[in-house]
Amino acid sequence: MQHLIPYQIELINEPIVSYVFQTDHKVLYRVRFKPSDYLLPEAFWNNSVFEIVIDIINTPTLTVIPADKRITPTIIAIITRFFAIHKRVVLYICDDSDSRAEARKRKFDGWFTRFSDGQFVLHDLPQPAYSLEPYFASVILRADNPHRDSIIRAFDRLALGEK
Amino acid sequence: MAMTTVDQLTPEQQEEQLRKERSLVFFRGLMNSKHEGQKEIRTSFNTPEVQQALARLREKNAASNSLPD
Repeated sequence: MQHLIPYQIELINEPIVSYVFQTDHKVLYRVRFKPSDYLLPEAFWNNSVFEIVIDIINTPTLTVIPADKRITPTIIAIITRFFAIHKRVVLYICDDSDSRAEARKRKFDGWFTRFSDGQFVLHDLPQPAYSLEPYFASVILRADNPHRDSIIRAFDRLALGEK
Repeated sequence: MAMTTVDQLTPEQQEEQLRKERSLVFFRGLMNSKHEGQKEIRTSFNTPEVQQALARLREKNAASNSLPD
């Protein structure tokens, strides 16, 4: 089961929490938790809402990034560490610039459910009505977050454009 | 003869229209924020903090690779 073992991760010491890891193919990833208090401006949620941004920062020799089953457990390990502060809420947004957001989202959901072992809730936001572009966004929070239902309702209201 | 124009919406239709607009603004804002975040990640690669973290990561990886199977 070597392919399920997360890669080593390292915290970057900067004000915005982020981590780096390197795959067996020497591809360097950075996972950053961008503060997003503007989404839930009530003081209660200050310093609790983040957007997760995952990106490749270096691919030394590769033109095509090979599939790598250790990446998802590594990202789950990073999320688990980040959620040590259990009030935190993380938004995951799927990029559709290559028109593959839906497939990417399905894959992420499957892996997330498989590896997160019930520790987290992944709630998909409702799609905007009548939009020509698809948008896939999810809220991730700890399953034992006591404010879970109210957070989900607040984000659903934002997604539906309700006041 | 009086003409009906598209901007003569009922209050309910106006509210529905506003909901759609607010929803789109929300999702477009998220997408823009994601793209900004990706750009920040790519452009802040050479900061001392990132380079120090990479050095620590290399040490960890080297140590784990030298462990017996």
